[in-house]
Amino acid sequence: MNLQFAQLILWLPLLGFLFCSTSGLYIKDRALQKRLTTVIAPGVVLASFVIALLVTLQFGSTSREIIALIPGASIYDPWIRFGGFRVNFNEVIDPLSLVMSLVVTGVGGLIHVYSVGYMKDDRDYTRFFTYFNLFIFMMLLLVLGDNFLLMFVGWEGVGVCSYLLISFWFTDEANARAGNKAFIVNRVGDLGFSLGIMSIWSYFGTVSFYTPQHRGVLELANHVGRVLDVTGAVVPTTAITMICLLLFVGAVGKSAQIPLFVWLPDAMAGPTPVSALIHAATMVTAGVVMLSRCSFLFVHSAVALQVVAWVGLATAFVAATMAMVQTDIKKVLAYSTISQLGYMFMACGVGDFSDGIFHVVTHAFFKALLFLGAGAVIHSMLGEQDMRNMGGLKKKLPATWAVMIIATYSIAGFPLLSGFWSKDAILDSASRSFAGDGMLLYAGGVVTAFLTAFYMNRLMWKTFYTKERFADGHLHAHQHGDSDESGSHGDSHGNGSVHPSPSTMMWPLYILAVLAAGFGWYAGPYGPNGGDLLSKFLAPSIAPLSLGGLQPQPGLLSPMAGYLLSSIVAIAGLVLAAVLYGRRMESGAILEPAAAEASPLVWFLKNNWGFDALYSAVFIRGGGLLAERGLMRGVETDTINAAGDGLAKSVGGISRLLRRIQTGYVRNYALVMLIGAVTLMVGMLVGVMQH
Amino acid sequence: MVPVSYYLSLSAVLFTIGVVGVLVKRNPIQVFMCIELMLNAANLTFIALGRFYGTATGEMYVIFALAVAAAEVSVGLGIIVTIFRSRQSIDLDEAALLKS
Amino acid sequence: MTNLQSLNAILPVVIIAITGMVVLLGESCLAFWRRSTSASGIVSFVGILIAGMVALFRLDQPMLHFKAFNGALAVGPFTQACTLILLLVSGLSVLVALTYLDNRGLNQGEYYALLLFATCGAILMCAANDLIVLFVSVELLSVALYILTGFAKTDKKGQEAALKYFLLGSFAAGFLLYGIALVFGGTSISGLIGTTNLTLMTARIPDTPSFMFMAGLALVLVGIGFKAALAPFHMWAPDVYQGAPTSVTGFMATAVKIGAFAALLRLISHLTGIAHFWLPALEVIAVLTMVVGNLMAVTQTNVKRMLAYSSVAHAGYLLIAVCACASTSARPEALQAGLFYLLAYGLMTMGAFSVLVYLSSRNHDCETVQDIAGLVKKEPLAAYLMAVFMLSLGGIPPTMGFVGKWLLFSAAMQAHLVALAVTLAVVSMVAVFYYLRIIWTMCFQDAGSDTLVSTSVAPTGAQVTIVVAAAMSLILGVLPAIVHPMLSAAQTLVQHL
Repeated sequence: MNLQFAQLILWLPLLGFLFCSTSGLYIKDRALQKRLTTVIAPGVVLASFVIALLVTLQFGSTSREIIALIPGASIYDPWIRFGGFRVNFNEVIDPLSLVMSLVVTGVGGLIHVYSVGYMKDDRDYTRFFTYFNLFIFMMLLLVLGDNFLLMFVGWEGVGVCSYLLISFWFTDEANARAGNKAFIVNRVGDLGFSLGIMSIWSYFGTVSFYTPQHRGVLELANHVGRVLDVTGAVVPTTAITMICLLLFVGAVGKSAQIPLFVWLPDAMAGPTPVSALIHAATMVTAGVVMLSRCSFLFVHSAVALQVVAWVGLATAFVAATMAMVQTDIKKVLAYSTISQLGYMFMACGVGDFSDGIFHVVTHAFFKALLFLGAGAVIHSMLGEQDMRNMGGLKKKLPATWAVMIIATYSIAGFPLLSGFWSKDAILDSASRSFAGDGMLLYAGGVVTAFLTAFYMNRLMWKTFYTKERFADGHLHAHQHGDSDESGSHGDSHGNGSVHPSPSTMMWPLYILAVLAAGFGWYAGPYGPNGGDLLSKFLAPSIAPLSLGGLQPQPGLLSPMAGYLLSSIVAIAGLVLAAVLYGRRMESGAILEPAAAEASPLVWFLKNNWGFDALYSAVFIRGGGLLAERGLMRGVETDTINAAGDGLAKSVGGISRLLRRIQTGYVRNYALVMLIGAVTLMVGMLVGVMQH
Repeated sequence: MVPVSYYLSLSAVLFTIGVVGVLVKRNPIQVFMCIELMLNAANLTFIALGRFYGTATGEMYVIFALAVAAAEVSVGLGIIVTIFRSRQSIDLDEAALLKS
Repeated sequence: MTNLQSLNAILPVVIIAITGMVVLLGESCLAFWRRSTSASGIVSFVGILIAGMVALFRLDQPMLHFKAFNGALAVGPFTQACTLILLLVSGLSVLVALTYLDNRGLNQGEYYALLLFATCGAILMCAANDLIVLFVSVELLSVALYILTGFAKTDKKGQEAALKYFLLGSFAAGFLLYGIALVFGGTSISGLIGTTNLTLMTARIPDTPSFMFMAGLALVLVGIGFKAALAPFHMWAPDVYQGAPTSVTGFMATAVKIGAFAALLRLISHLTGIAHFWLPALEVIAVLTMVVGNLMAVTQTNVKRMLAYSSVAHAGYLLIAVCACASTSARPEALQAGLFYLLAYGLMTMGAFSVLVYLSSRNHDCETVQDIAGLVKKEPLAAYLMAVFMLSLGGIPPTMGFVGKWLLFSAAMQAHLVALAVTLAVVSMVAVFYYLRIIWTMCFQDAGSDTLVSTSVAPTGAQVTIVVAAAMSLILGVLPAIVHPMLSAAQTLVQHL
């Protein structure tokens, strides 16, 4: 089967990036540059999506195909070869990478189209799409790369793009700080990931996932009960556990799990399409993708799996409680993203990687939809993000309300919508956890599901149903957050009143709404062709638990009872929010502001369970003290600076001295040559004589 | 029959004279003559060795070397003439604009 | 092997030589009709292109043991790879020259003819399997370059550079020829006739070679070391590089070095049996060259001169590959590293000089640090690409220079040349200083009132060169594997010596 054209999936976004980044140099006409960007930037991503779709259709029942990344190159050509260290420049086309490519380019393409409308008045329109295309390229490199090193390049690349886009409006210091926070917290995770890769190299002797000779890490781990290295020796289980935990540290950073979740809420400082694409639909799920990719390793370590499951559950619950008290519409969604990512990790932790990916996909649809819908709201409100100043928008923005309600019900797990199927699959697997802790995991998951339904409907009520809490016609553009681009709104839309969004922004929402509603049914257990399409398709990429000698326990509930319970919990959460807020149509708040301020629980939740304060005290203040008192005074000033200055001075001094030898006279040059020649000759003759 | 070592010693002496000449002369034409002396020392070695081995290889190499030397002379004199035209002097110690 | 087959084997050289003659004669004929055209340059470029395609096509032809002209020339993948690299840099030099000569009003066909003859010489240096052929090809390259150096006949600095280059070059040629003569005598073992053929020589060298042979080898190394600008035979390089027309400097800094190192790699690969006699000497030269080149470059204020010293330093880096060839186990890696670095060095150096050409105008060569101050505001593209070349020369990822340095480093480690590896690492830090200073000057220093904006009549040639060199430096910096087939083919030849 010839899948060579799959190379294009990756390279098209890079071409788009190259065009956007350099067009300023040769296109002097700014309007023309903007028009070309509008066509090319979303165009390349959508073209990638089409190619990915064609590859998927051609892929059929093949389990895996390795192709060279460079057109015309062979899959045996190394990318890097230093001594014995060889890394090939290949991509792996398998179900997992295809599913993720489709999500990245599909959702990414829609968000590109949306951004055309959203960013249209921004001064740095082309810069935005430069980063966006680069992000798509890096994300595709992450999911398609056939070795840990390429994955790491993509991993770091998306990190850089995320940083650049969070601080996209860098003139505002808060945005720049948020970008720095994301970057620095992610470094902690990346350190773990890179240590994991080094351990893999030292234990396995390769960093490829799959190789043409079937000597890749995942192929070496594909034996029941044991893992081999390239020479055929058995890798000890403790080493596997260590590797898995190091990789998991990387995943925790990127996917904003406890304890490294603190950067994601701040990352909402970026433009809303960025939050939708990077901090909801794709990049933050990279951790789940990496875990699923490495499922062949993880199933060999029950300890690592347990850690993953419990960190996931804790994150899901904690983040859901935090989401209950947020007043910024994007922050609610940010915490909800963290919480949903916790579900995905829990799925991975009980060995049900394919349902983790299932939730990645459905989450990409409904969370992108929620963010884009929230973006449309913010856009219409000229940059207002605080839900306390919203309300009554259902009448003014009916289309946005319609898609938001689908997304909300989907994430809440309302029966038969996408989120219902994927979340229920995860809860079902959790209840059958191999370690016998299914009861606890299931209970935690159900409680979190209830909280999810509640806080999501709270968002809907505060924004769309309760009484208007702003003066229509007298909105003024905000200076922070998403408002920068709307600085010119006064001109384009005349006055400060709520206005609907342009159609380029609405169409992506409609498409996502269809997917957020129907995809779960299509890919879930009652879908066409006997059901479970996604997990059947993914099977070749995912290791079964039995590979590591682990067995799922019998379930607590029959599938039907599970569905029923999930439905009841979801509906209960939705109804509770509706009832509580229905009573408070005027203020749009359950507690009066004063009471909320006094409540210790609200205070506790609003302050992230104290995580930020803890980090601030330990790392920022403590680290600062250490740096200032210890390192700067003692080491830097006295030792390093002195040594550095001295060295630079002496290098310059020697240089000036040597330059005097270069007199400009031919005979001096000839003399130096002669001295060199005689020395060389004598040296060599002495060498012969000594023999 | 003169032993080959005599020839080799002679050529070594010639080579040394050439090298020393390059170092002490200030006139580029004289310098170049000394360089020619070095080349011819090598030529003498080739011929002596060729005779000693009883092959024509040595003589053949000399033909190569002579041709190359002739080409060098023509180019070198051309360069010296252009310098003389612009400076009215060919003293090597005056040609030291480029240094350090 | 008939002569016709031999000629066919060196077809790229033949094509270049014929093109050179056509240009030379054509220019005289056309002189009546129209003066100062770019026609000669374009013809030369086409000739190089054709020769390059022939070489590229022959890269994967199995000619592992082919020796043309009774063993005088070795024509295998190693030669083909070097030929390709050389044709690349001389093709780029022709493009640069189109701009430079127009600017300076020097547009004459002889220039291109001499450039082509010099290219022939350099290619033959890579192919020479006999020391006397090496001598002739070195001289072919040198004589053409003496003239090119003094091509600006009225420029005092140019004249002085030409004179210095000529005298010192001939001096070095004297050493080389005398060294060859001594080798001719020193390889005469037990009544056998002496030889200068490398293949025969390998078989003739006993475990402990004769005094005469070692003395000859030392003098040959002096001769090649002069061409490669190894310390202490490098003294000519800064003066000549600075005084020569910038387009010539670019060619001289790249083509000569490629030819010299190819010859050195081939010579040394034939002498691994007696490695312990020459290796310490070469190690000392390598360390000396790296240290001197980098230290001298630090305080230069003339960019051309700074690049000249940096090219001395790079010669030291390249010598690491030569030294690593001594170890049989590390030799494939070392050859690959050496060839890759030659390509990288050729591209980035040529690129840096083309930027200077691009910025030069009719009466002012862009060469001092003041000339490029604040460049980023006036010529952003040129400044960015200059920054790419500087980063690459400094060995900073993701450029070719980094990969090359890394390969050299790992080759040195593999050959257990720890001292060289450590020196490489230390001097690289010094090097970063002066390369980054150029970038700093371009970005942060205020431009004086009289600084340059490109006023070239037709800067297309230089622009193409700059962009091609920068793009290749970056692409090969990320994907060095692209040239891997070429390098691994080259390595097999030398393995089967």
